[in-house]
Formats: sequence, structure tokens, C-alpha cells
Amino acid sequence: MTRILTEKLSVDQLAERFISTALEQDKALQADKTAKYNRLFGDMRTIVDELKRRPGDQRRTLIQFLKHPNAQVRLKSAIATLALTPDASRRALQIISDFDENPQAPFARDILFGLDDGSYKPT
Amino acid sequence: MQKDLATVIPLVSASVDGCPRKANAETEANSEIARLRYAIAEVALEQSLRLIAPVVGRRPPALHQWPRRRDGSLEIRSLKSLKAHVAALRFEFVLCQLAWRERKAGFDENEPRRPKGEDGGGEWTNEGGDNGDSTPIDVPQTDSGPLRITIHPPSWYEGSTDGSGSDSESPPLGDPPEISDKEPATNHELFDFAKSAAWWAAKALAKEAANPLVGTLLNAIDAAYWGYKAAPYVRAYLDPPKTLDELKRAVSNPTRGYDIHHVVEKKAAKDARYPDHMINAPENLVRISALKHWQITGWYMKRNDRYGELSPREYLVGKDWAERTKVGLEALIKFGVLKP
Repeated sequence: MTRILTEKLSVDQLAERFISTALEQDKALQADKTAKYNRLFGDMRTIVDELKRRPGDQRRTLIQFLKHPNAQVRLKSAIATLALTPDASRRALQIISDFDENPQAPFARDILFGLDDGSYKPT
Repeated sequence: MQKDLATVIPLVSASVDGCPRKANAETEANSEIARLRYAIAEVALEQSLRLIAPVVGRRPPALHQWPRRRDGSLEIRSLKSLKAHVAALRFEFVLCQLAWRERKAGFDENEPRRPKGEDGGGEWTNEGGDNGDSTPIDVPQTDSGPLRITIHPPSWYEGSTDGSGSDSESPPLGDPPEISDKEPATNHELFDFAKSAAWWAAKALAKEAANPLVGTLLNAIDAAYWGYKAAPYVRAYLDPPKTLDELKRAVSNPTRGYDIHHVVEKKAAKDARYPDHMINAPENLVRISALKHWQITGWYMKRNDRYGELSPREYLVGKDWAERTKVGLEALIKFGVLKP
């Protein structure tokens, strides 16, 4: 997904793209399709960067997804909102880890480890 | 009496049609189990004779005959599949017993009960059902449809660790993977099933330690005639985290369902021209669940927020052995293999 395309989308449309991309990521993870997952990782980055760039840091629109039924949606929205709502976002990561929701749990633990040892700093 | 009898047993979502309905069906099923046990004994004996044949200098006699029904429908190709067949038969037999008992007792899940607090509260009203007393009755001859057992997940199955439904943070467990009566066509499909079952079971155990649903799932896998191929992988996945010493010691005991895993990733270390004696040194080798081994290999290749959006493998390019070991050990902790 290019920057030019995301610039034309409204915040709501970006949020929709966020969800659909996370769900696609989930499928790619379940099927262990690494190349597809890595491409979608870049798409997700573009969407989140665009939301952050919008006036008032519109990543806050992703907070509503911290309790989404899909674990990948929760994982990606938690990572994207850690700088805005650290406690709630960390709690969402902790739940994925505590309930061993696979295949997301190890990725949630990656961020929790990084937060604890200071090697991951949300921006 | 309704034809469909609902039996509340957690988890198993299959229905069993056409259980034998004759009075002597139980005896017949027992005979079938005895016949198969006899066949197992024959096969085991022949295998033993084959082992000692070089010692005694004689070829073993062909003792066993593969057990087949008169129509020749039963195909058994190995001792393991024979044992699995017996397990499946036992499982089906238990389900059938359950259905017979409920039919005899006139069980009707829709029959109203007397309201709580009233005299005889909670007892059947004998309305809408056909038999409220405890005297067993014969199955009416007119009720000639196939006996069907429908197994429902319990009501506390979703969304709560304690059954109260009050734990709103607990993610839903979802359904366990379907255990087909057909063997997965490829190894890929078999391991996909094993992975789904292991993930589901791990989540169930995270929601409730010693969750009985997990035992039911494992028994159901064992009961499938092909289940012995997947079960070791699922069970190995559910191992609790171990110490590094325990994981290293287990390397000398290769077991189905487990792989030997390199703490410092083998391929990346080879690419970085680390010598084989370091890569394959005992301190770099651990025995872990094969499913987790494959999952960790995939994790090394996937882009990751923690590693500056690089994959761990990309992140480790140019890093020294100590950093590779640190990442490798952390991975084992994150995948629940190594105690923190």
C-alpha cells in the first residue's frame, strides 16, 4: 500500500484498512506464509504512520480495537497505541500473552520483553 | 420419545449415527474388541518371531491374518493403526452405551421441570416428555430411526475462566479443530491439524489449568484411527517450560513429536561462517516440541516491531555469538519452552 493511496483515505477508511490488514496478517500467520506476512507488515506500518500524521494523532482511533475479538487486531492496535494509552495497550498485550493466544502470543511477549528491558520505546 | 437424543459431553462435536440397536449389540461390540485384541496379539507375536528369526535360523511362520469383516471392509496396515482402531471402537461403544441408557430412561432435554421452591422442585413434570419415573423402559418398536448422539459444548465453554461469564477480559476459546474420520491427505494437512489442536489446547489450559476439555480433545484424537500420527506433536507442544539443563539433557533422547533445536539459529550461524563445532556444540542444542521448533523458525523470518521492524534473522546479521544466544534463549522463553 503506497503513501499516496493512504493520503487520500479518511480516518475511518484508514481504520477499516487497519482491521482488514490485521485480519489478513492473521491468516498469513496461521498458514505460516512469511513473505505475505512481511508484505502486510509494511502495509500496516504505512497505515499507522498515516494515522499518526493526521492532526491530533489519529492513532487514537485504534484504541477501540484493543478489545477486538481477533487477537492480531488487538496485538497491532496495542502496539500502535502504546505511546498514547500505555496502560491499556500493555494490558491488551498481557492478555494475549497470558491466555496463550497463538500465533500472536510470542509477538506480544516480544514487545512486553522490550518494554521491560527498555529496548523497545513506543513513539 | 424423540429420535435425537442430546447427550451433554464437552467438546466432541461429531454425531454418531447408526449405533447398533439390537439387545445383543453390546455383546457384539465386546466380541469385536476381543477379536481385534486377538489380532493385535497375533501381530505382536509375529513381530517378536521375526526379531528372533536370525537367532534360531528359521523364518517366522505367517501367524497373523489381518482382521477383516466379512465384506472385507476393514483395512489394517500396521500394529499402530490396529490399536488406534480398537481405541476408536471403544470410544464409539461408550457413546452408544450412553445413548442406550438415555433412551431407556426416557430422557428428554425439553421436558419441563417443577419450579424451584415448589414441592418436588427441579423434578420432571412428565409433560412434553414420555417418561418421568426411573423405571427403565424398552425402546418402542415404532421408534426405528437411527440412534443419534449429539454432543454439545457446555455452557461455560466460552468467554470465562470460571463459568460466571464475568471475566470480560478473557478472550473466547472458540471451537477445537474438527477431527475428521478421514486421515489428512498430506503431512502438511496432518501438521496443520496438530498445530491447530495444540494452539487450541494451550489456550484452553491458559484459561483454566488442568482444563478437562483438553483431556477430552486428546482422547478424541487418540480415538481417530490416524490420531497416533498427530497426538505426539500435540502432547509435546503442551509440555510446561523446562530448565535449560533439562532441555539439553533431553537431546540424547530423541522422541516423536520433538526436534533438536539450535539455540543460536543454525542457518544464520552458518551464513555468518561460525564453525560447525560451535553450532552443533552440546550447549547450543536443546530438545523441544517439533511444532514449537517450526514456529520459532518462522518467527526468525518474520518482521517484528521489537527488532526495529526487521526480522530477528535480519537483526542478527553482523551480531556476535553472545547476542545470537541471547535472542535464541529469549525466543525459547517467549514460546513457552524455557523457564524464564
